[in-house]
Amino acid sequence: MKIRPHRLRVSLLGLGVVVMLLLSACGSGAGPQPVRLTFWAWVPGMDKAVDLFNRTHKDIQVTLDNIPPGNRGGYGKMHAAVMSGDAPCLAQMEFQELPSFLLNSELVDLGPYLTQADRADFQQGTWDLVTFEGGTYAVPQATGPMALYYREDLLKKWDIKVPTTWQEYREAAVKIRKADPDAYITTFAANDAAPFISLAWQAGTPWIDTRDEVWHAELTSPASTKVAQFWQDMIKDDLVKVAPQFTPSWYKDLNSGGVVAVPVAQWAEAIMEANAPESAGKWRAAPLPQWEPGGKASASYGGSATSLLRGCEHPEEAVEFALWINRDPRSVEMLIKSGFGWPAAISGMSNPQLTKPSAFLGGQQTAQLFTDSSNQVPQGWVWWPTFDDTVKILSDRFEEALSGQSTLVDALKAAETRTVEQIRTKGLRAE
Amino acid sequence: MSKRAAAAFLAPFLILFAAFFVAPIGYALVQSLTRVERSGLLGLRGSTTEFAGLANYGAALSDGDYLGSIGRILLFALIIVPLMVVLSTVLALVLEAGLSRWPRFFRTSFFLPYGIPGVIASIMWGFLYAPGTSPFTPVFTALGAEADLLGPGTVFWSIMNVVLWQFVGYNMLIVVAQLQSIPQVLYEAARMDGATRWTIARTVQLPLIRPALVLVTVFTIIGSLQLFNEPLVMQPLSTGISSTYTPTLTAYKEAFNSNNLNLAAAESIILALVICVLSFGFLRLVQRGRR
Repeated sequence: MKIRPHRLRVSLLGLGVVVMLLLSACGSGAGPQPVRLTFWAWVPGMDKAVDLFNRTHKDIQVTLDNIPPGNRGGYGKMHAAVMSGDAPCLAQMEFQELPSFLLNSELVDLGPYLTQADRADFQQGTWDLVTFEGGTYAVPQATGPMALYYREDLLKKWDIKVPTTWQEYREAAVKIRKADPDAYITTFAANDAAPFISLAWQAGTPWIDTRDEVWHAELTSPASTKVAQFWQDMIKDDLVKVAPQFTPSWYKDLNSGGVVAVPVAQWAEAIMEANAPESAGKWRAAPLPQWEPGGKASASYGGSATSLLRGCEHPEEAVEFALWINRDPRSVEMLIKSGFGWPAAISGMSNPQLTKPSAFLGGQQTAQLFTDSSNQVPQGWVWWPTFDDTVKILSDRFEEALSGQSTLVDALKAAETRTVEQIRTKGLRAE
Repeated sequence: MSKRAAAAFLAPFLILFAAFFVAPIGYALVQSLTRVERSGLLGLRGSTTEFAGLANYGAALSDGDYLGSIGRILLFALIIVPLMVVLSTVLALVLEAGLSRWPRFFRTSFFLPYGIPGVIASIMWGFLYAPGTSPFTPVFTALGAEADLLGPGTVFWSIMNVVLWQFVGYNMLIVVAQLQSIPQVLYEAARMDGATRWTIARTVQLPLIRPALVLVTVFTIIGSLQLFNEPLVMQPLSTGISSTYTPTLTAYKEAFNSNNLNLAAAESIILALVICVLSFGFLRLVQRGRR
């Protein structure tokens, strides 16, 4: 009888195996397996938001993979992944990038998975940015309404009033050069034309128009030429420092007062605060200078959305995640804190994180300023499928213009010709 | 040894070589000969891949930026090759002549930069060059020279400095290895004949390290024509590096920014051909000189 306990254990084990087999045959014994999704993004702070999602959702579990920022290789990685049929379900996507992904049908149309209530939770303007030919190709996340960030202490010291027009901006630049030979009003980043494109957007003529299924490039409209001429003259008269932005040298200038009044997107505030801590409290934000006195035009720089890449097997769950991450107040709060931009969700705009006074801006409350800025971005702007190429070529020609043999206006002309050529090499019609 | 055994030993290499070298080149060739046609504003109504003949090659060769980048890199190679050969030879000779104390210590420290990954080295040098953080800028300003080491006129030389810094030690080791294979009897004979150190270097050492110098030259030609890490990493810091600064950068931009893999493939293959012609041409030249 010594063997008995052993036998009992064996038979219990056997029973266990049988029960487990039965349960797994039913497929619902241990509760449903959660749907697993992968999300490619590079936004700082996204990890915390994803963690919170995973803690609060039992049926969907998301793995975040940090990839290089889009234009630094991230988009290339996505194109390659889709082509090889091994793409993640979810991807971080800047608005201007959507058309180039649509070119190869690399995005999933979210229309069937979105309810009217979902749509009503986001600003209509941001839905417009992700809608192409009747399809909705992303859940909007954030935009980049711009403002003029200026050093209140220095302007006060030198008795310069905050410029409200670009004419006054130039006059302020002259005064700053006189007051401190080492200081400039701002930097002109010749190696990255993207911010310039936003300033041209403010001037009012969209660079691309899509009448009759043809891409019409209008980079050299009078409005955009005026902007190029303005910065050309600023460079020629040594009123602006020609240097890259978001570099160690730039942060040093922010800290030391080497640059004084910078037109920049709202999301840059978090980056400036982190990298120029000594200047905290000395900055203020004001509306962008205007081309017409009393004008009310703003611009947007950057801005992202969450897309589903082709081949996603669980689009419904992926859309649920994309909506949650961009709409849930706790998620939005975390993302605002790390500087993801101006929330696309309507409830996001009254998030305490945005309405509280900013220590970096000396206690200034900027919610209204950026709500206005966001509403005053001129309508009708369309991104085109070769945007990255246009930025590259424009930056290259800007750099050439610095040698004095050509001008920023010439650069615009070259970029216009090239943009048409490039859209044509994609097999589309352009003129 | 039987043929079968030889095949078995070669197989692992050949399989990997075919999978990771021949196949991608073949794929790039195919890519470079096709193009995509689309219909509708955004091609949402379908796209087809079509045979393009040599159109991509034509587009690459008529692109002034791409040709300019090849010109720039040829100039780069023209300057850096002699510098590299002379510097690494001089360092090796000095170390081997026992002119310095602690030769092992110096050999290791000259070699050390090669151990630092190119991207990290570029980031480090980026900080060393950037105005505001650079320790050199104040020195140059004090001397009255142009201070911006990342400016349009200076960045070419700044990049060359990084490449030299990184590879001189490595090439020096190649020369040192060859120097150490010179039999001692030759030195003794030369000394008996009353040769000075200089004469020994000129008539004994230099002719005998010729194979190493050929190797260093070919490595440097190939390496500089493929210049990529340094300009890519320094691009955000500088107003002097365009997206078409070097041929590899141009192809990278086409592939990963413009998503035009076909043109990128054509540009890569043209560059590969240029490198082949130059390095094999150099080897031909050297061998003919020998005969």
